[in-house]
Amino acid sequence: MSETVPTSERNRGKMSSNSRDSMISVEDEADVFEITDFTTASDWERFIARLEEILHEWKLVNHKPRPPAMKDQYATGTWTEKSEEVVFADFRFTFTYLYLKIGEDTDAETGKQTQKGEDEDSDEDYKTPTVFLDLMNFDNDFPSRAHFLCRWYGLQEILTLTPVSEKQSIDSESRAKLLLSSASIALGNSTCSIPFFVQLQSRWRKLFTGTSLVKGGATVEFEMSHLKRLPSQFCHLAGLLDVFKSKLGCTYISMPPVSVSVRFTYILSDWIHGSWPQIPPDFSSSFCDGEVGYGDIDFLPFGACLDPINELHLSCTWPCLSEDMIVENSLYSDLDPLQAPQWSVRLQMTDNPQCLLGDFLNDFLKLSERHESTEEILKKVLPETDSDKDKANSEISNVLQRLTEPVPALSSVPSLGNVVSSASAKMTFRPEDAPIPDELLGKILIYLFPDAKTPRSAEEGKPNPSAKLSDDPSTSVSEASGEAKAPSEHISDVAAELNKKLKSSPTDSLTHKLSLALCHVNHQFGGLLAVAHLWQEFILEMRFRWENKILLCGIEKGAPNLGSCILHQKLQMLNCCIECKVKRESSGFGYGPDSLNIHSNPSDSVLESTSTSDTQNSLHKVGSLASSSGDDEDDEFFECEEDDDEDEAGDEDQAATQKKALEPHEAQRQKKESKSSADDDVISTRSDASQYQDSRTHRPEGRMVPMKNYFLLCSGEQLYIPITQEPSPMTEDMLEEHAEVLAKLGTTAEGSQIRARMQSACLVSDMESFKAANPGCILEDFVRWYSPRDYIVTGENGEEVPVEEGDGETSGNPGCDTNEEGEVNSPDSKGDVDGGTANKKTRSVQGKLSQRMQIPGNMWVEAWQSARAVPARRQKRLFDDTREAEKVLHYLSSMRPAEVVLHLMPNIVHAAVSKVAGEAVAASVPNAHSMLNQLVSRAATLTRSFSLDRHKYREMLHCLELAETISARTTSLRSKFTSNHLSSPAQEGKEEEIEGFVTSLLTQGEVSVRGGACGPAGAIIHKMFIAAQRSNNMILDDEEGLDILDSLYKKPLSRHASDRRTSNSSNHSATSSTGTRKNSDLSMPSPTQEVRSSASCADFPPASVREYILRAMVPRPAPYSKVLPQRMYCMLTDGDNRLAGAFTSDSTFQ
Amino acid sequence: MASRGGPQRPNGASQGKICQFKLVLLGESAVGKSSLVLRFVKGQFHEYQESTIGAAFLTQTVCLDDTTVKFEIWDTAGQERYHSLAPMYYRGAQAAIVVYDITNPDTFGRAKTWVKELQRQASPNIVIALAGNKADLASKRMVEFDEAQAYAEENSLLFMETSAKTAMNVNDIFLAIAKKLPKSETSGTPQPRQGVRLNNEQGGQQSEGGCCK
Repeated sequence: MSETVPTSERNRGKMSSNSRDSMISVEDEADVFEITDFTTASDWERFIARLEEILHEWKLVNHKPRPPAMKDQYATGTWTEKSEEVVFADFRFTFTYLYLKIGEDTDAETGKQTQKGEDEDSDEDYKTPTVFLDLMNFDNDFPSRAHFLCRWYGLQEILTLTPVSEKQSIDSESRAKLLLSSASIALGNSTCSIPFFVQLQSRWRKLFTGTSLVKGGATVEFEMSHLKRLPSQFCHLAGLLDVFKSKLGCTYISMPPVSVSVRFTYILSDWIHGSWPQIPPDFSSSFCDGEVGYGDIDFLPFGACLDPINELHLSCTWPCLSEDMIVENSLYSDLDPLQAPQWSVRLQMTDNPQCLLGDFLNDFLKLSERHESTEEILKKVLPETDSDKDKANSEISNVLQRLTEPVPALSSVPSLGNVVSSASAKMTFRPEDAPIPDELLGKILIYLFPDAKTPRSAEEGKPNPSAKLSDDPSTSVSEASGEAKAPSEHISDVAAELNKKLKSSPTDSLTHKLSLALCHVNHQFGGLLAVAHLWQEFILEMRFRWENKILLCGIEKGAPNLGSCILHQKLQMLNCCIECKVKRESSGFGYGPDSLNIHSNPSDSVLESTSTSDTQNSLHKVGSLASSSGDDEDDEFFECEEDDDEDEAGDEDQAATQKKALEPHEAQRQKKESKSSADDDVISTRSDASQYQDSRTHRPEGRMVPMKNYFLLCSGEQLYIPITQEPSPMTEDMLEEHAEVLAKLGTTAEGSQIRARMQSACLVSDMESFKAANPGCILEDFVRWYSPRDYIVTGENGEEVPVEEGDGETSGNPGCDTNEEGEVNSPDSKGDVDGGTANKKTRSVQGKLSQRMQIPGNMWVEAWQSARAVPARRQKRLFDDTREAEKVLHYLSSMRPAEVVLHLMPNIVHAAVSKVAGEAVAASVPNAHSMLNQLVSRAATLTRSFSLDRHKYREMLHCLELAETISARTTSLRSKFTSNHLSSPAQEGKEEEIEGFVTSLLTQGEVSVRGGACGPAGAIIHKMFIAAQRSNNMILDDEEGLDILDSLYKKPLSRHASDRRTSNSSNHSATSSTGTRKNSDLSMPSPTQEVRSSASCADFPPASVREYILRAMVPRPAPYSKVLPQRMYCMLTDGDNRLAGAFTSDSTFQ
Repeated sequence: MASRGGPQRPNGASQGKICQFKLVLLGESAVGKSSLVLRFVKGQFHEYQESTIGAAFLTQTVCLDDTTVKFEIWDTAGQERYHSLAPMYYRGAQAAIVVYDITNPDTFGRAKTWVKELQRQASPNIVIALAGNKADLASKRMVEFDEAQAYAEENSLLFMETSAKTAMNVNDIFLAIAKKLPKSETSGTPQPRQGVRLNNEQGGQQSEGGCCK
């Protein structure tokens, strides 16, 4: 304390007569005096001033004593931390205040305090300082989680000073003393009694020294010793008590009994009966053998390779005993874990249990970091010469294959793409160099394209190089089925939600399968190269299908679904193009056998039209293989189905329509005939096309359906709804591009004009179709159909009545569906009553265009005037399938594998989440529901975000991995606790409790075992320890081993003596000698006697951690001093022993 | 819109900056969508507004407290034929105004189907407003205010009766949308953070377990 003298002299100058004098003399200039004083301050003075400043800032000056912490509040409450940086000369420290947040209690208390007001002061004297309360508080002896200092000293608030840099440390005693005394000054000046600690030595040692100045004349010294080895005489309670008492200097007769809390922790790391149940999937045999639907391609691995639960820590606690009550010395111990009143268990999880799904997917995602293009990757394996191609290990099948094949060494033979496409030339690997073996490639391709199972090439009359395919024994997948639907196994809410929320693709779609296949190929066949190979094959297949007009299976028809991922949309787009191409070309070429077989739907619709020409009115629609005109030259024109309802005209089309009625098998035979008739048709239409007639006189064309009760205003003829071109299907990126182009035109009048003109193509096309279908029509007629609200009917009285929006009108609108047509067409529908009158009425109807349509020079009029009468099928195509298909194919082929991987991630995530969902539900993971909800919502936002962010996907996979780990832990733990070996009659009916125990173990940090060793969970844990002990000591189940063991366990006793002498080099032997080994020798009757009788070794291994808390109320330093709390915490574990003492001394009566 | 949609999000969340929002107008033809926009953007009204072809595009900026909100407005054509193009405009839109004509109950029915479609297919956080236009023709009213309001409440839509002709409620409805927008933007973002927290808790638990031995 000698250092502190000058400070107190100078610092606040209360004692110094010198400063007091100056205070008096310069009374008015007190401030000036202060300033002068500080400018001359040394580093040390500044350090103290800074500490005080911070204490003021944190409002710790004149700190009110805190209420005692409640039971277990250290573990359950929230701890808060404040920190600031402090400098002492050039040494930087972090000054931290850590305290238990009392939350509402404080609020309530402050409320009380304000209410009480004046009573407060009287209370204060009565209150025990927080430090004293904490030291003697038995309620938070071994908190399961708390700052180590709080745990060791039982404190609820502390101040710590630690060097900022790892390299700097306080390693000399004098430095530590200097810091402590400086802090004492600061704390004393600000009457702050919060314990203050300084960190010593290297940080990892967690070595601190501290002090606390308690108001009312007492100081607490916090001391600590940290030793690798403890002398053996101190390795037990008796020895520690000696240390404690000697530290207190208790030579008094009236030494009160020391109260003792003890906690022993036992570690179980060998799970004898409940070993980790995961059977790692056999990767080597995946989709190599077994024809069974290649289920293993869409099988995602799941689970952990290592047991996710590493250790079970059992802590046996004896709280608050008197030293007289228990004995533990080098020879004897009362501390039998089975007798411990409190048992608690915590799990030590494996750090990285190598989760299969996580690894599997992460490997795949890693590819997205590669920059090579597909070609660059494949170039490496493409052969330059054919030398050394006969490797010794090359398979016979390969050799045979080379002999039989027309084109040798077309490795990707099963790929249909190679059969025709010249592009396949790029893909000639030597069979042994191909990243994916031929056979497997074939199987994967069949998994992707189940409709290719039976080789088409045979039917096409071409040489059949895909002989391998036909070798496949199973041909169960018939072509007609078209789409193979993998039965979804987990039809649960989660699956439905995933389908709805995620922007991926349906689980049975080609895109989905492709992502799984690529994932597997990556895992199994050497990563990037194999992925590039399969991707290349996929692109070839896409091109092949486009060129050969084979619809993609597993891709739903119709315009791209904007709710799916972009790659899926592209494939849908390609499908649209193929469909369009089929429609366009098929009639010209007749029915190719392949297209007929594959597209069963269109041929079905042809079948439907087997009927008289009358009923054809209602069935005329959709037959996509309509037998209308069309050949190669028709490419330029939009092809739509033949308008059968021209039966009114009763023209030569009848012949063609009747051809459609033919049975499909006959169709082939009749092909030639129908072709010729189609040719006739072509001629006739050409003659039409050659001479565009005046709209009044030309023959009606492209009629779809008459619009009920609507008649042309001029001629009074029936108004027909024309067949119009379908709006172009667009993928999301096309829409975006399109909208961007339109938006770029800006908001000027000019821009808007151009924009309207750009968008008028569709309007003009519709007008042309309308004109063609309704000779002699005028704009009013068109508007009545197209935009009915723009035609104002003038009633008989001359008032303006908007045209009645009858049933026929709405359903007759363009864009209506086939289903509605029947209604439109049937003359007997509800409109029948006024049909007759309406007939006349509409004929004589008086009306006019709305005002806005009459604006001179408006776009509608302009467009109407420019439109010629051209039926949709001869119009310029609004949708250029060739161009769009090429765009898609180019898009696909220009993707680098890295991009492919990223684009498939939504599907992967989809599959993975549903896998996790299935497994987690199966394992009945606690809180599975909220965990899955979190995953789903996260996946939804991720897949819906516009950009594909690799890092976000990594995070997503990390979350999935976490969920997988949790699931694996649950499975593992449950299997451990429900193993048959452990069950006994006593446990019957207790399943629920055990289940609850397992659940809380998984969700909470430390769980207390109800009933300790006697409880159902405790009994199981006890058995686990016994089993582990037996296997460790190699005890067989039979009794033979007994004798040997008898001699065995006597040995340690003798060894024990020598241990003591050699100050037991290893803690292990020390503990085994002192602690638990005794249990077997001297154990008292235990609740599980029956188990014990057969075993001859200790039930429990030596305790790995032994903790003791010793407390006493003793006057210190002199017998006449105040009686003050004293406490020492001891932790003994292998190679790390710590004694942490808090010794209070009376500073008044020393 | 993806390219603009991306950076918009952070803007939407922060304050004192310019936020851009894509807004789309939907509804039966001749209910006054273009007139509403024209009134909002230029303060004009044409008795006979030319029928829109495809969709028109306009922008307008409004100030709201310390935020400047820029609306990119897509004014679509109401004809049935253009229905299939609508996704192009409401895709990625943060807000939509569904317009009907209070003098015509059919347009109200059509508005309902639009709302349904938006709820099903547009982005989940989209702010939908229902506007009963031509409120100046209240004498010919066919759709009751209460009916529409009840429907709007049921579907949690903003609702106002507007008149492009008298400018009644026109700015108000756009402002109401602007007010509602940033909130719904930020409400979408914290979800991923929760996911991370799960992770932290797990890690924390383990490390603490280690230090207490």
